[in-house]
Amino acid sequence: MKAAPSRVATVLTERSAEPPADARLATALLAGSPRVARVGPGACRVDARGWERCGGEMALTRALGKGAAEAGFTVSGIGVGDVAVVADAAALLIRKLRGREEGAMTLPGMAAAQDGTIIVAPRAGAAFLAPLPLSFLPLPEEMREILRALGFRRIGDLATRDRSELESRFGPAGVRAHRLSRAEDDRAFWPLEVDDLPQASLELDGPADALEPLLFVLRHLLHRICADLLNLGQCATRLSLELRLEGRHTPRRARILPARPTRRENLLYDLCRASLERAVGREGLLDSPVLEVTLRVERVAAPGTRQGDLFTSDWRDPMAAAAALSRLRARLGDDVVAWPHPRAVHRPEARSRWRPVSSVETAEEDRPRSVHPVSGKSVLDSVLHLLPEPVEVEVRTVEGCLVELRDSSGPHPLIVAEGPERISGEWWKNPYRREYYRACTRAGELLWLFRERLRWWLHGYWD
Amino acid sequence: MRHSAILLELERRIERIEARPRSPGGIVSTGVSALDDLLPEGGLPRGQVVEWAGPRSSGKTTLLRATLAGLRATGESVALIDPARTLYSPDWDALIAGEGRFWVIRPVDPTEAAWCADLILRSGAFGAVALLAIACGISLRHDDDFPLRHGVTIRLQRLAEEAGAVFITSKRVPLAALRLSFRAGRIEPVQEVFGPFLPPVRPVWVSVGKHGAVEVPLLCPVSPPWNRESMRDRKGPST
Repeated sequence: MKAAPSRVATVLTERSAEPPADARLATALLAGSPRVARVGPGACRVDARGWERCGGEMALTRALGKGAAEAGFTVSGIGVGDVAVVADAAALLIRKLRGREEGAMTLPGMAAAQDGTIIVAPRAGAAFLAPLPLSFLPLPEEMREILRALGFRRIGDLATRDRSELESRFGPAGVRAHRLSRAEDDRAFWPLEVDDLPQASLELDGPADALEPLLFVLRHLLHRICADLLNLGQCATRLSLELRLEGRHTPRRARILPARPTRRENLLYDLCRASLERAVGREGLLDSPVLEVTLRVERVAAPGTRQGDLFTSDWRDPMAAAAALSRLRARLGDDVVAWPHPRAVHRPEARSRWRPVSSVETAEEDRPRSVHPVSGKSVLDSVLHLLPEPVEVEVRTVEGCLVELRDSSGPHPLIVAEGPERISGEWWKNPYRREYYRACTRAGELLWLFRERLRWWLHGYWD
Repeated sequence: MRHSAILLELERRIERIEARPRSPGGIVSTGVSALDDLLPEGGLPRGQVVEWAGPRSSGKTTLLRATLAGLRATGESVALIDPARTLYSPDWDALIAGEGRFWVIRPVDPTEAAWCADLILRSGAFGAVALLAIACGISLRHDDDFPLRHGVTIRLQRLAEEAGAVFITSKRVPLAALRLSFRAGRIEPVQEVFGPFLPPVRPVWVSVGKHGAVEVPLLCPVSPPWNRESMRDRKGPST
């Protein structure tokens, strides 16, 4: 197994908006180290080994700073430590303290702190992390909240606990958190924790009540958002579109929910556009002029796309399916794409339930077990169509047997009618008491009829 | 291997891919071997519009379900557009399990159905798209509202061709590449002491243009629908 680098430097710059800028930053940092990885917007991590005979790590940080400055970047903090979590914490700390007390600051394990740089001494990572707040550790937000509620304030509070306690409470994530708190981090180039998600807003030159100027602005905002998502290596699963309206205190908000995590600009544009189109009236105008448009990513997820195969012609892009389903939902409503989700109740119309599919990924995870194979049978089961509303019909009976059904199209002789099958229930709210019959007309139609309170209803048919 | 040789090999392979038809496999099985044998190409042709015509109870939805299930078993995604919103969800529950994916599109406005089909076919991500006719009218005789317009058919035909998908519709189609006509066979009631009963199996006939017809046996609905095999592990009512 390849060993992780024993010294790592994290370089943070003022955040850039365009992905090529980060590529330029990484290229510029090659002046200091041959191993550079982009780990977030305006952030890179480099292998800090090998400078012992060239002026030490302080010389390395100067070389990194110089390289970044020459490429046009403003460095906001450089941290050096044994492992990534220590280097990141040092860089974040220097950025937070920039221009205040950085010169006079001393923390355990700190070897040097000057010129926007903190160097943590070898094997002193745990001591350096201990007094820092928990926000310096890349923990899931939910776990961070629970730890805060339990009274954990500093990383040292976590490091002193028994690992098994955290494991029993949080599972593998607890073990990972405990390892990080003790500066045990065997991955050198993992992404930085994202503390703020991409957002972009633009104030319009003047109030706009038509769709076109908003769409123009929207395209521009999405370009920036998607660039940020690309930098983060993340995809959006939920966005909010906010319109600040003239003469109103409360902005109008809409939620954009792609069916699958995505950073495809065109797809997100279509979804936002569909959302805006729903807000405009018949004249194509909004009810109040818009002053400012804000687009905010609320949730992100790692891209889960499958790699396509150029040499396989039958490969179908799941993202394209997700895009199509998202567009359907955006235009026709959230419940238009559905999955069968029958309920174990007696009333047929309640039994036939459809569950709206909100996310392609979720749907896949929630996929039920195989119930029984549909194909492969020698004789197939007939499929029922249940009318949205039962249709009232007239039925003629002779000695209790159903002999003829009459509807608006005329009489239909019945050659056989099986039944009744009685169901009743829900006496506490909406009582029903029905007698169901399966009837076959002379023309071969298989109908599902029921009688309730002396009236006959056609409820469905088999096809 | 030298770079120039690698590039040449790559170019050759790309040329082969470009020359290959987009449609994978060429046909889609209906799930009924007798019907596949009757079809001209041994199955439903991909990249074509297939009319799935027939009155009520002629077995067309049952055969459609078997076709979609068979396609899903091969790992392809299928979409079923149900503008009438009449599908009974327990009957379709089993299609969720498997390799591929199954989506039901239920537009509130039935006139949006063709647009839904357009969008889904255009994505190129589905192996089959099926559009059911509207069949919720009072009349028992008419199973469809109106046929697909000529322009719409051509549009959907082109999209199906580009996607290598089969587009099946139970609406009347003016220019369908393949027309399957379904017809309910004669049901012979079983005479018992307490009166006539439905037989266990009912015949339906599927004819394919001039190629002839085939009889497909379907199970008659069992009593009652809430006691179906698919729901046997769930609590059912006492009758």
